Amino acid sequence: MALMTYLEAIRQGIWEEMERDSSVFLLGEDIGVYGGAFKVTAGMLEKFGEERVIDTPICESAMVGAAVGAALMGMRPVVEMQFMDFIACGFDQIVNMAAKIHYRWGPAVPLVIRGPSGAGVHGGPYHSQSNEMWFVHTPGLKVVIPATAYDAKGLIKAAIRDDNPVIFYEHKFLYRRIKEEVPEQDYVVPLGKAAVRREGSDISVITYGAMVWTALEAAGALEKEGISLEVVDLRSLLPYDEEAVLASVRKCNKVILLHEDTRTAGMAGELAALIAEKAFEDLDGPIVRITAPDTPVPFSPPLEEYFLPNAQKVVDAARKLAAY
Amino acid sequence: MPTNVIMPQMGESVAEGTITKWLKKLGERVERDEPLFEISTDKVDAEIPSPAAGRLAQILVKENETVAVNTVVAVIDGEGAALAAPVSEMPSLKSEIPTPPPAPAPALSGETAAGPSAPPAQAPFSEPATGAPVKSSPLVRRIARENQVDLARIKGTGLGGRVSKKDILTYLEERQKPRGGRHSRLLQCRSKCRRWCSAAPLRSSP
Repeated sequence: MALMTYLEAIRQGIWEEMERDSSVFLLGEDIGVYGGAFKVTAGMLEKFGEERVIDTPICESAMVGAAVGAALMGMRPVVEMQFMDFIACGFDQIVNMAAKIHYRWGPAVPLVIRGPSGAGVHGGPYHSQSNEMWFVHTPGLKVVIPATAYDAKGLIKAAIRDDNPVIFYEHKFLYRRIKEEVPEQDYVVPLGKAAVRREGSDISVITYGAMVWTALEAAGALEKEGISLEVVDLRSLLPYDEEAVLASVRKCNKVILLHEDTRTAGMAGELAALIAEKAFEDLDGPIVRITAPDTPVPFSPPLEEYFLPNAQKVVDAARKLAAY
Repeated sequence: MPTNVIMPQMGESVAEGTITKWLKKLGERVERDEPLFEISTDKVDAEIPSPAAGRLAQILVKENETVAVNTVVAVIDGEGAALAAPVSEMPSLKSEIPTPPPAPAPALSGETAAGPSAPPAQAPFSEPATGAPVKSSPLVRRIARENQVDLARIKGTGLGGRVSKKDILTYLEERQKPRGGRHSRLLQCRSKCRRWCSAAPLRSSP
């Protein structure tokens, strides 16, 4: 075990996979000499050489297109988006090529597109988005969002080994704020499996990404009031762990769906539909969503603070729901 | 029982139709699905089958008269009444076009005057007949059903007097007390709760 940050855990995961499998290689803007905008790939050029750590032009469609081609030829490319906001420039290659090729022609498309997403660092509307639902709504992709350093390493390794295109969201707020003991040996965290981060009995809070920590903070505060929150970390949004969601709802009978992404057609809406369909008779109160409002992420720090869900908002909503 | 015959809606956009010919005379016998009259609309001309078997008791719309969709054009009296669908049970025809209420049929007895005056629909789920509906939740209603509990007997402590999970579980517990032994259903219920509480956690960390 070694104490490492969420970011270092991702780096170690990629590093180990590159050592393990020579078909794994990296593509991205300034990932080589510079080591990446957040330094996730620092040291990789020196270790693995310029054929496996490729600095690309600033052109996401070319990066993803090249990765799709390489994947079809048996390679396992890992593409870095400098910010996940810029993934939109590679959208067609992702949703119309990477996601559909297997269904249309049969071959596997084992590629990973990874990069920082999320707000809370005053990055403004172009460097703060949580745009995961663009891809959750695209059959043929997998979408993964780790919340812990342990998962960050285990999930990036599982993503690289998966034969499908995986969109891997790293929350930039967590990069250097989360530091944990992480095993230095090889392990994977399976895609599509949620984790219960905290056991509870009154209200199930189902969430993912940085909001897992928000939920845990709220759970700690509410414990003193005798309100017991269970915190479920989805870890993967596509496919998501239906069983874990339903099990937690059936246990607590009240549920809060929490995410940093905006409200309309967010993951919470999908989960609410699932719960209404499959656990209606287990509900002892309304399904509650806590999300950002339907606006771009504001640049102004006070506005951004207002925009983002936080522990206080969870506490307030949980108190109301507990009394329902 | 008499059956109303209505002007059908021949396509979503069609609002009215003209009766071009009655194929049966007043008082004549007609079988179910036997052609009864012919109509002409903006979209199509068609032969309309009878909705029921019986005697053509009344013709309310004469040939070459144009009436709105769903207007009662005739009444059939007879043994086929069981198969007959009153006008009021055809809501799909009413949704798109605001049709006037069925043409007044003064000659009809009260019994045949279907349409807007149809009896109010029964509530699909009815709580035990104890007056005002009890506020609860899907979970509480399920527990009540499984344990044959009348929710009106429970004092709700939830928001606005709602019967909550806690309320009904407490009630069930109390209900068992005087009998000494624990009721099997309650035991089932409680063991279920326990099962929920001990559901295997999905943990990542070793």
